[in-house]
Amino acid sequence: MSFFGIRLASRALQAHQRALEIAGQNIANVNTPGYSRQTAVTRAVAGPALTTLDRAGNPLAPGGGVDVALALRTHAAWLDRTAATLRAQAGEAAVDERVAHQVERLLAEPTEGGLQATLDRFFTAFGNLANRPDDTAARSHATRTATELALRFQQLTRGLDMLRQELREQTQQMLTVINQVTAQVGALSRAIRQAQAAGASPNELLDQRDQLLAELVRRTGASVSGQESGEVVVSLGGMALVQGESVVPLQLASDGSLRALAPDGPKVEIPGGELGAIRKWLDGVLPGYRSRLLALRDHLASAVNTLHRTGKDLYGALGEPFFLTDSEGNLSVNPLLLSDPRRLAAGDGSAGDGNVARAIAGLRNADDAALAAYRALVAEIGVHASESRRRLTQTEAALQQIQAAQASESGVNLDEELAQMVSLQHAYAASARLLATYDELLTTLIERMGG
Amino acid sequence: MRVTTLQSLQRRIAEILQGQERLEAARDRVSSGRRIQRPSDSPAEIAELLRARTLVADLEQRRATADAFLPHMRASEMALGEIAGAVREIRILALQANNGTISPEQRLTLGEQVQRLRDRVRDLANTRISGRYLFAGTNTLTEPFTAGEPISYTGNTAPIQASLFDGGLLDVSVTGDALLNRRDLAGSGSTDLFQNLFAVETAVRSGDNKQIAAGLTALDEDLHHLLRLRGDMGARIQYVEAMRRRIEEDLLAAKQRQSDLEDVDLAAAILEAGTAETAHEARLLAASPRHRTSLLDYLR
Repeated sequence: MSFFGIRLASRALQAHQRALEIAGQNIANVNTPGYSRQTAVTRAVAGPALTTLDRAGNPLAPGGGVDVALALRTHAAWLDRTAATLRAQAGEAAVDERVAHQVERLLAEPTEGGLQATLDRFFTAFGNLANRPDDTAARSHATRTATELALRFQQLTRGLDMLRQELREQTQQMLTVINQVTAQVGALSRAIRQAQAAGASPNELLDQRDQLLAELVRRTGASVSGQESGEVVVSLGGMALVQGESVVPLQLASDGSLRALAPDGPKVEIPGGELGAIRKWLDGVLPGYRSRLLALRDHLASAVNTLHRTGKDLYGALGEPFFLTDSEGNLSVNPLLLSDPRRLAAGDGSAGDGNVARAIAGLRNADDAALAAYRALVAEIGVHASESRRRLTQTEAALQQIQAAQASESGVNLDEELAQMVSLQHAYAASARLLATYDELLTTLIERMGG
Repeated sequence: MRVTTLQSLQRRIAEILQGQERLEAARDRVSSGRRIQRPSDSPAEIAELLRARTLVADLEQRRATADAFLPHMRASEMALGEIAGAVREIRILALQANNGTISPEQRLTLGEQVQRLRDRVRDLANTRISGRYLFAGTNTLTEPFTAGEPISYTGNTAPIQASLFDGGLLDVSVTGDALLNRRDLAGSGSTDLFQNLFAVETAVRSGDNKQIAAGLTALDEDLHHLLRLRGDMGARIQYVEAMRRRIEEDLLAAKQRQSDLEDVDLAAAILEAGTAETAHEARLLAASPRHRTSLLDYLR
């Protein structure tokens, strides 16, 4: 008989309290995204001195009770890589979907505000002018629809320019966020290394770092390695953005390219993610759309101008250029024609001749190749938008599955924790009872001995 | 598989959002009546839809062209008929004058009648419809036949043209020049309708039977020419009317195609919206706390 039993019981009380704390941490973080469930790993503690031997002469160890060896972080690291890839794809698809939708809204097809309907109104107005070239109202109507057409082209190119400006600003904002995140990852890696060196288990820090890495991947499509071994490496198209505790900041150079370290540092290509998608729209897709719209506009304007110059206005003068391009490259109707519709060269100069107007109206069919190119552009944007929407839904569904699998490994289930609490509570009560029993035993002993 | 609290909550939220999106899209289709509201709704069909819309606009334009010119053509035909009628009356008057027993007073009356009819021919040749001279070529805003003697033609020789099908041009007016039936005389100079009318009037007034006979021959020729012009215009009106009917049919077909492409099948859309609504309600119900049990409900 010794005081040893009291120590055993008190250690059991401590261990169950610690386990309860861990369950409490789990319950507290039930709604924390990225939190990994922790489990108390208990182990039996060996007794101190081996005082009693069994019949064979082996030591009989009554044991020293229990303690919590560590709070184990249950994290499905093997799912991280798949989840990261999906996250980058989902980020990319989300940006694609958003921008494609914006472009669609800008085009406003197939509505009365779309370019197609505007073109149709323009051609119809010239067809009507060809029927009534001697009617001033038909003339001014034709110039009005032409103005509308020029404005529509201007709206489209300006809308695309604004969209690009928006994306450029988003690039800047995103770079700021990325630089903050990489800096945090570096700082966390240092804290984790120090904690581990001190023998602690920095579970919460690991969770935080995983969260930040996931965000980094979603934004840039970077590849991450070494989460398990300790030294985390985040590489971006062959260039290490984060290596352990050292971090390379990204900069937006004046020419619009991304550079590492300084505005004149080495160029960095963003392989994917949200930023990758933004770069793709900014540098490739939107300028392409813009130049195709401009090509259509210039083609139409020059075809109309060429025809208009062959005609004569009602004063007998040869047709002036119908459309003008100003210094900023914007199309407008020649102000001469707007102020005096008689200057419109609808035909050979006689009041009733509308041959030129008819030829301009005939561009609708004669120049179908150019207009078909526009329809193809609309269809292409439609494909882009619907494809990115589908891709977003698919990757999000896949991501959800992976996240469910991850959560199934590392997420918190309240019922489970509650059950754990009940069991710990009972164990705690039993340990306390044990302590009380030892107390009684000792009291009895001391009283009897004293008596 | 362990089901975790946060995951299950997030999944419910995601499902509810998805359901709302689907419901919203279905309701949009019902309220707008449009199946294709933006290119991505059906990228495979959007180009065809735009083509169909352009075709409809083009056909409407052609129909408008036919509608714009048919009244002019009908008015031209009628005016040509009336001119021919007047010339025929002049011819009858000339025949009456071509008679030895006629008194000078009667000749004077006949001459005046011829003059009035000649003025009528000039008025008819100056017919205007909605501000446009029919027989002036493309000089539609100036009166083509001047008053006085001789009557000169100020219009031009270019007929008004209309395009009813792609690349095809149809003359829809008779120029004053054609109306005049200018022709060379065997001996010297040339003659035309009004010159003949003046010549007949002079001959009737003076009682020169030889000149009246020559005038009658010329008038016969003019009359024949006018009737040919009228018949020709009638044929062209029929052609334009036939074209208009064809355009109308094409337009119907094009509009049907456009509607097939862009309009929603309302019955199906309403049904779809209803289904989406029911599904959404079910999801909301599933997410409600009443249907979520927890160990907490059973622990004291």
